[in-house]
Amino acid sequence: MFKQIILSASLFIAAIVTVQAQCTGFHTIRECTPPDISDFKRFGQSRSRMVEAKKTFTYQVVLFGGYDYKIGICTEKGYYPVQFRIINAEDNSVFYDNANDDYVETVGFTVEKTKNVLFEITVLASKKEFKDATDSRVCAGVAIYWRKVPKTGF
Amino acid sequence: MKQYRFYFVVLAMLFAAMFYSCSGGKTNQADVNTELSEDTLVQDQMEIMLPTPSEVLSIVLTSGIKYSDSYMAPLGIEKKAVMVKHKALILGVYFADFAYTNYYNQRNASSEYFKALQELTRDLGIGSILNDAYFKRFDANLNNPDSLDAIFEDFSQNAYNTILESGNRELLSMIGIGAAIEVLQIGINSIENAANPDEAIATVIDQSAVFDNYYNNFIAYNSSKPEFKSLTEDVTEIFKFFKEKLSSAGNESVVTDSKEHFTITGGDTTKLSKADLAQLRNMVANARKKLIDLKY
Repeated sequence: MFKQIILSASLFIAAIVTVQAQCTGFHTIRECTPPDISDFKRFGQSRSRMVEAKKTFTYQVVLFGGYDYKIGICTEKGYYPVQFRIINAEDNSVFYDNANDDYVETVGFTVEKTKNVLFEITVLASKKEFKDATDSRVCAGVAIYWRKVPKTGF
Repeated sequence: MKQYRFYFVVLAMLFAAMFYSCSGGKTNQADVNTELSEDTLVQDQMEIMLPTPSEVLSIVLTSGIKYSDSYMAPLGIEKKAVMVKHKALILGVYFADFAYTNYYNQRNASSEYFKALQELTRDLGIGSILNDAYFKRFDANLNNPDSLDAIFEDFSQNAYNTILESGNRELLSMIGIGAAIEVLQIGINSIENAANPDEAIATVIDQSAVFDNYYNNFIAYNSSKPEFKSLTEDVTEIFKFFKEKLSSAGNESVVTDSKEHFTITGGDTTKLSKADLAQLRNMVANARKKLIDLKY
């Protein structure tokens, strides 16, 4: 009986860990990788997680000044488009909203001074009809790449 | 029959586990109130990301700054730390020191800090983030600095993400604040031997944005804990110092350079005076001393 309890408990924990980890590394998939990043490095604040479609997930990151960034946004097939906004954490003004850009999934930008910003991700899934609540849960990824702004001039 | 009943119980537990995990356990994060225009959209919660010590140090250690082993915490504290909170805080401190030794390719020192990290992560039950495979990769690439950088970066990101995704956010908040104080301490001390002190001081200002994330993440999990009263007071003092001294000019603007690229310009902040810097140095030194003396 003791063995059975141990086995059951192990399976229970394993199941929790396995299912929760199913979005781990989602941002490293090809669909999430922006183009032309040969001289860029992956940024540590890239993120994958399970989100609920039509709900906004926000996370605060630090963007370092003097760096170029490229960002790729991705989710699972059938759940596009994804709205992505970059917001100034100081005053909530919007730096970028891909809704103004036909919900493109990649964008590049340069930051002059280090700052805290909010990344807002909303999986819109505009063509999807959900059968139930679990159907609306989906992996989303934000892949960030960075490089020092190359020196220009002679 | 008994066997079938057992398997039935196991299956039932598996389904229960899957249902629980799919329902998305909430984390301890601050609510935000942003609303989108569409009625059906609902605001979720906010998560605070922590830049890795190696990323922060790559910003802080501007050109011309020399390596000094006096900036790092002494080894051996890991053996004195008994309480989980002390182990986590020292893990953060050593994580930053390990990043520092790697930045300057100090392989012997790096190897010692790696062993201390291994011991602490094992004690904290997160030993999988620092397995021997990484160290073998380090060893195999000793003569190739570019590969070493890439391996170390991979390790740093993997370590933070693994702790985060394994649900140990509270633990990461403690590790993070230890690392934040140590990185700040290295940054401030490095100014004294910088080739361009003005540039070095500017990077300390950059660190205020990093500290903001680490501080808010720590506070979200620990502000009400009596055992962290003293640490909370000390890091709050540093946080308030940054807020008071480094007011933003609020002159940010977005310049669209092409269809797929823009630049966020402006964002100037006031500069720190020598007196300000001395005050910050004292506050950080005080917190750092209590950290490594296990006084928190």
